[in-house]
Amino acid sequence: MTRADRGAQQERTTLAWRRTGLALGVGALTVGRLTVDTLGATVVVPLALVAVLAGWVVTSALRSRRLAREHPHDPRFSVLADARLPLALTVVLAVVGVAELASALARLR
Amino acid sequence: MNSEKKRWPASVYGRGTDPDARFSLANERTFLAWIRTGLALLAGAAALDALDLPLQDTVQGLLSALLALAGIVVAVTAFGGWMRIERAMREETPLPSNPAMPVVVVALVVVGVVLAVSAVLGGVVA
Repeated sequence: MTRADRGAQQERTTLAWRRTGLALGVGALTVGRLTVDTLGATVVVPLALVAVLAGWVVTSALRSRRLAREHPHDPRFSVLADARLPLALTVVLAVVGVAELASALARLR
Repeated sequence: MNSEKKRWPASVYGRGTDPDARFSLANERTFLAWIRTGLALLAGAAALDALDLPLQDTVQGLLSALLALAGIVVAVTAFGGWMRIERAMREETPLPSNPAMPVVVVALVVVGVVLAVSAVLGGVVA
């Protein structure tokens, strides 16, 4: 079904996942560090969630890459064939966004 | 092919047939690029929130909030867009556009204009 990968699509996609996950981790830490001053210690809870999710995104992407390499002819592993990771990523970004929004609004008071 | 594991969500994978894997992967990378765009908007929001600029606190807070809101909108529409594109490819219908594009443009233009004006006026505004 799945032919040998042309154009290193799988590799490029895995790299995109990896740098997105890492960027989210770093972004979450930065926003966390900055919003601790305005929002206080409550930001620790959402940020811990974000850190866990970001770590999961990176490890899942790596695992998926490994599975694709081990099963080159199994279509189940030919793509990250599921929406759970994208959803997790969206949630991570939204949580960071809400924290930052709260911090910006706190400035208005 | 009967060994297909259950793929979520059914609203995407329950329809049509698998497109060429390369297209799905490209869709995924587009989604990830949107996520990083959203993250960049949030980084801008955080910078505006933290930096000491020659702006009134209220203005700076509003700009920061605008960028943060844009980041959230981009995150949510990135996921919706990924689903709609994947579905369209499975059903071989025309690809939808991403509604987050005007949001990003408007947010960046507003923030850019205000920052440019404040840079020209220097400390006058503050």
